Amino acid sequence: MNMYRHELRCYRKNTLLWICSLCLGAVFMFWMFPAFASNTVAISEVLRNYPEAVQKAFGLSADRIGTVTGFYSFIITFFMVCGAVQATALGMGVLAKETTGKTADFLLTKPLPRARVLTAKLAAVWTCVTLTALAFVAATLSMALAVSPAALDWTPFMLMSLAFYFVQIIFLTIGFAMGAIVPKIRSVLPVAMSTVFGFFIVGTVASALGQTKLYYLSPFKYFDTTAILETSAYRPSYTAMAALVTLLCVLAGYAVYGRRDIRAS
Amino acid sequence: MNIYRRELKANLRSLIFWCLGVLLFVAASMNKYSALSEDPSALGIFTELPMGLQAVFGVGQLDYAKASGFYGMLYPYLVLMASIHASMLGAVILSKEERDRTAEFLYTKPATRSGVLYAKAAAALSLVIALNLMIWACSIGMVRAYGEQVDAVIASLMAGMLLVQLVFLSLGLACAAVSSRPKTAVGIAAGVMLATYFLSIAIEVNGSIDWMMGFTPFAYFDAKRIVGAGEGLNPAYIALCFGITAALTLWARLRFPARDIRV
Repeated sequence: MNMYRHELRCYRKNTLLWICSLCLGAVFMFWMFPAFASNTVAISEVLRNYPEAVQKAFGLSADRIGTVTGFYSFIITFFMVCGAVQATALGMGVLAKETTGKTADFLLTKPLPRARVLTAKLAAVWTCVTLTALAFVAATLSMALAVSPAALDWTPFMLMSLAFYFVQIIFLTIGFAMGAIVPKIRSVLPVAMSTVFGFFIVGTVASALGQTKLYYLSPFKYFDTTAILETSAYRPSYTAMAALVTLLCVLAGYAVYGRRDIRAS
Repeated sequence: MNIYRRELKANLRSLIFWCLGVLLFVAASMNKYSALSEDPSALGIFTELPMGLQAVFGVGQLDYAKASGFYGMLYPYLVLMASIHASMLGAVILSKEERDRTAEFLYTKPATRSGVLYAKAAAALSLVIALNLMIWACSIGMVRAYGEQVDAVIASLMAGMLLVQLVFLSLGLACAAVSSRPKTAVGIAAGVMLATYFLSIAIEVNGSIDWMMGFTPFAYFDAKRIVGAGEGLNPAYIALCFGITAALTLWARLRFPARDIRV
């Protein structure tokens, strides 16, 4: 419990900063919504002329793209990237900082099994991520209600918001596993950024090429927002994949860190 | 010279990882493209979409049926990778001495602070150029594999990429030169990079905020215009890149020798 509280205190400022920037970004994006909506009138006119098969291929229907939820399905991807950077850096940093800060021997000689240390740390960063996601969803929801001309389409909106949280959880555990496995990560943020953007680029190029099989490689595509917009549901196979990745990463983190040789400095 | 060589050696491994990443990315997308190019009708629907929607899918006036058009779609992602590399490298190379508690060791050596700054900046510049050349080689190899000769277009795209890399490298250096906390320096560099990247996407979606293009280097050199319409690099943005780089480097040069080093 002490350790949990200590970690929370360490990440308080960092988390507040992330919450503020994510909310600011959300306000900025939704501020652009009226301009986007007036553009999409023309788009949906053109789209109506296409056969239904083409509309299906793009995963969107003419009357949905101009709504707030349609707009949200598009912009949420970029917030997911930001949230993923935060989560990966948290998961990685919470373990890596003991070795880089030369405090590993201090911490691990305490009368606590390593698994308990890991649990406390994981719980702390999980709390940070959850708080961030809650604040972010509250901000987007209020902005969406403020700018939406019509009634909000609740189910897909909340599913996408939840997807933001799930993507954060996946990346939190990926970062956690990396932090546990890689012996010494000196600078956490650069590694976190390249990991997240690597997955993001894979997902985007896969969807530009229409390669749905490649979606399994990118956590950003496990909760494909255009599909959520269309069906108001997650796709079971990708959701299972997401759960599997999360579980494997946590297990790998515990298995490796529990018996790893950690050098005292 | 010793510091320069040491920094090169210290960052060689991460450079190799970056090169492998780029190579893998280009090879994989090329592989997928070869499957698609055999069925051009599947690509045609992209080009018939209206502008706003094309931005959503990341295509513009690019002819997907040509390898060069497909390459134009990949280019922004290559720039993104190179920018992450450059900004993080610039921030870390200068601030890592304090992070690793080796600052005392380095800065008590008979070398001036500005001398150290120059050596580290030169090493970072060399690494950034090396990554650029690697991406260049991959790009030419990829487009040529489909029998297209657009070396001149790729050369100007790579020149544009190098300019963007320079901007982000100097941004990273300036952050590390000003802040005496290594974490803050890297954080600010990363934050500015993320913010400008998302701003460039916002501009693409919403044409009415075009005036913000000056704020994001990712919008300076648009592959759609350069590949699609055969335009050159916009001279105003070239000048802007050099201006930002010079200003940030000068700022770093002025502030770094004067600031406290945490030991």
